[in-house]
Amino acid sequence: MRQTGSKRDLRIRAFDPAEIEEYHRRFDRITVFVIVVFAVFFARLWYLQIIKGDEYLKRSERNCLRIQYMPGPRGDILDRHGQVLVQSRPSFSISLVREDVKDINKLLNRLSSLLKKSPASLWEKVVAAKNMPRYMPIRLCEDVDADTVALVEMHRFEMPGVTIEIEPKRNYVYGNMAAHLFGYLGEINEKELKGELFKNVRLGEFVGRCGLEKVYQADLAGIGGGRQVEVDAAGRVISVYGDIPPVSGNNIHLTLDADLQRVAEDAMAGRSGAVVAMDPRNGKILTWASCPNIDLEAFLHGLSRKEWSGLVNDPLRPLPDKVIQGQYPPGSTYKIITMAAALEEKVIDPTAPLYCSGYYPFGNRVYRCWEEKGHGSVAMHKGIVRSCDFYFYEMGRRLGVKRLARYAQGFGLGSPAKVELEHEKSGLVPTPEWKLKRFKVPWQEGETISIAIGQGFDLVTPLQMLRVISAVANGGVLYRPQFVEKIVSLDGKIIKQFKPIIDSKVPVSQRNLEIIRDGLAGVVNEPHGTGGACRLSTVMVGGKTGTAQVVRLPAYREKNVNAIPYKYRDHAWFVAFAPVEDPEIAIAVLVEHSGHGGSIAAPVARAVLEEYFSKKSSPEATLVRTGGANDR
Amino acid sequence: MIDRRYITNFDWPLLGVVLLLSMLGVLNLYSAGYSATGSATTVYLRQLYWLGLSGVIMIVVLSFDYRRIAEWAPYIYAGSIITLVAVLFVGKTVSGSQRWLGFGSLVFQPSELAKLATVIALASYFYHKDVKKGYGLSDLLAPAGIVLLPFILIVKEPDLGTSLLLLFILASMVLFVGIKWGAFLTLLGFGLTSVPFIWSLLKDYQKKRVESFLWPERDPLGSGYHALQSKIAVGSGKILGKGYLAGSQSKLDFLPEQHTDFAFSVFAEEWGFMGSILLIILYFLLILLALQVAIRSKEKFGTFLAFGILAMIFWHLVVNVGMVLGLMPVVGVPLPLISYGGSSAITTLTGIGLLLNIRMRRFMLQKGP
Repeated sequence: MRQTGSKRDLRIRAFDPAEIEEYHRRFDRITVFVIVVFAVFFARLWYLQIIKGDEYLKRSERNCLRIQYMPGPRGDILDRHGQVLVQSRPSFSISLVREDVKDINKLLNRLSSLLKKSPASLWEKVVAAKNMPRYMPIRLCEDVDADTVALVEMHRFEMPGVTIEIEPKRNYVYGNMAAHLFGYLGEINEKELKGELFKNVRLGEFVGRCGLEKVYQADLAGIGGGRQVEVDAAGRVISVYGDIPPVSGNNIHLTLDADLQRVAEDAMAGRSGAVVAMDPRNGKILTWASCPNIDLEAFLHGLSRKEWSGLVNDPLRPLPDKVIQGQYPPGSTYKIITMAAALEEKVIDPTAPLYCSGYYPFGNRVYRCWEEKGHGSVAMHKGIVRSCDFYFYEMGRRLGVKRLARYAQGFGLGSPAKVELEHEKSGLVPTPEWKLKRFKVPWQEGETISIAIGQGFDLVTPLQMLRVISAVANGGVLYRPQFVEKIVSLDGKIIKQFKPIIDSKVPVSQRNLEIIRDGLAGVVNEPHGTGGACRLSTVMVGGKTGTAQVVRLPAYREKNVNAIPYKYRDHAWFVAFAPVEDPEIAIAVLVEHSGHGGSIAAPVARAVLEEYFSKKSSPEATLVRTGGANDR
Repeated sequence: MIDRRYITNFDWPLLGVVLLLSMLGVLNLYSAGYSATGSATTVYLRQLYWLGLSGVIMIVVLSFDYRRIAEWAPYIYAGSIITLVAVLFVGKTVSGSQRWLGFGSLVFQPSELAKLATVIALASYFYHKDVKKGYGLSDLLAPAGIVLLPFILIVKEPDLGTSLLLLFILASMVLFVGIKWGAFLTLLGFGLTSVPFIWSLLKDYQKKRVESFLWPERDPLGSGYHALQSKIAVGSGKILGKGYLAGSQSKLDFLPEQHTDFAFSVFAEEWGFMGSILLIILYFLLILLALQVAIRSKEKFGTFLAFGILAMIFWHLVVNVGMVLGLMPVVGVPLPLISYGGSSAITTLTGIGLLLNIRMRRFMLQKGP
């Protein structure tokens, strides 16, 4: 302990005598204050432990204070006409409070006969909760029906410790309709509990795992309530000390039209693919179907490992949302872009004919037109109406891959549409730079030929193609797809109103868009058009077919579709808008591994468009419930 | 060679009381973790490690003349502000509050040490700024600033309990060093009018705690429940308690935070009125002995510093015991030496080390310059 040297450096300021007097008075007052505070502690301990001690001891021995949590119901999801699509309903569960149980073996045996479950399965639940406080209820049996509830209620006096709890559960009014858009719920996990998004959620509650349920979790989630109750030895409530009622979450009004959605899904029955439609004037989504659907109800009960692996390994791939996660070659629907580029870049006079012989020789290869006999003399209008590959091979060659890519990107391909849902894929617009980086080999000009008709490296999502056809329909505007019209609180107050968002404009003049629309009208309405299957008698429809090759094997070329193995069959595309004069609906249909766009995908689009326009002329809702959770 | 006078002037009773309290604390933490499953049982061991580390720090603190601290005050203060800022950027978040800095497996709470640093800064300021007839408003601007900076940083974490303690410490010290009547009344008026403003700054859950203290029936699920369970635990201890390791309230997990904020409830339940009173008396002795250190220091810095440390420990005590006994809202403040907490142990024992330091160097100053 060093002293020398430093001693002098330290200032010492002593008290002067007058100050010492004053400070001593202050110390006296402080001492009195401290004594008073400790006297209060003493008195309080005396009061709690000696005067009220017996009372508190009794309360602690009975352990009679319980907290009963009541989760807040999630808000409803409604369609654009106010139809409730997803709602919350009360569900009953049977629980057990170990604290109140005398003979747990006997009790579980008795319960198992009432619930028609094996005692072992009930034991399993009890063992799983062994680390929970003994006064917390353990859920033994979820979502039991009213008869069982009545039965248990009747025998409750002989089973102290058994409680019946009410919780809100998700009810899918129209079964699995729009399942991918809504998304499923899952029980909250430890990691999520710590996150900001789930701050009002308690363990054991269900939260949105994907889709809109997740995106709007904060709006949909209710606020849990609960009460502090005093119970007797049998676990029955004697008195309630405080009660906070749970609060429902907000309702979400979608832009979706449930009738169109149903028609779209019905038309896709037994098939795999996507149907997505929107109002091209503002980007509001009208249908959003990814087929086959997933069973949302099943997720509420918790999927078994086997059920999960069944979903993962299903060849129809039900899990991903194909509208934004399915990436396919666009096939001939891409000719819309090649056509726009050819017009804008003036690589050809649209009235100048070329001669299609059925074969397009390029380099040391020959590229075939789908019409082997050839289309003969083809100008631009006929080229698009008959979907002549020869004509667009030539356009592609004249444009070159870079210009093609520029227009594809201008139409929003190659990048996500930035919808609110997760895991949106960006598709692929190939360029020479991309190929060099990806495959370390330079671009072959022949590949440009394939790109021009939507084969080769091109990849798009159904939503991207919907944006392409919408932009053609609405004069070139790329709208951000919008799902939600407004969020409304339980008492009807609008919490948030959503507005259309314009992302960009396509680099095509109004005049050229007009030419394209005219061509697309011909595809559906002219005698040799490939989209005749989408013709409507009341409204003029414009559209484009597409058939996307999955493999280019000569062995599968001429065969009947059904003779080809499923995974090698072509994908069928159809994109359309109507009415041609003043478009108010645009649609993209993709049917996986099914054959030709004109014969497979176009009728699906037709069904939706027909419903849209017939409903418009007779606006009463035609929706029929296809079965909710209660009917199952 | 150690000067023999250090030994004869050493405050052995103060050290004895502190050791006794620390031992009771470890004993109590063993019980608090006793029936709980899993990791909780090692809490008392971790507390022992922390106490050992704190003891080493305490010895280091004894080894130099405490008056050096007056010179170091700006650096100590600046260092603690830097760690508080660091906590906001790289701090670990535990149950919604970002209060901890991690060094490998060690976790430290800078706001604990900030209290001590602020006390040192305040004592140093009042020591250097000598005013004969009480401090006026302009003299108090600097101390207000000294407290406001860590106060704001700690409120942001958020840690309402610690930031409130800072205000209590400031108020105690200002009243102690003497304030002009005019300044006192102005500050009182200003303080009262700013209550609604401060209220509006509180987080919802903090408002709820105050509300549930004033109207317990409003929050039966949150702090109202905790307060009631704590009262039941304390009350059910009666005269002799339920016996060590036999507290049923705490064992059945009715009590939240039984290692930290509600450690005293566990103790009161198991040791009853007799035990609780013993503990309270030990704290009373601790405060009185600390007061003696302040009173008997022969120079001003020692007096101011000792008083500041005393105020820090005292207010911890008042807020925690008041909360456990249902006399105050539920605010997360540890009970020095009894609650689990490494940062709290280090801060408290460093403070005690400074008190012992002031006390044992008293003799050197018997003749002023």
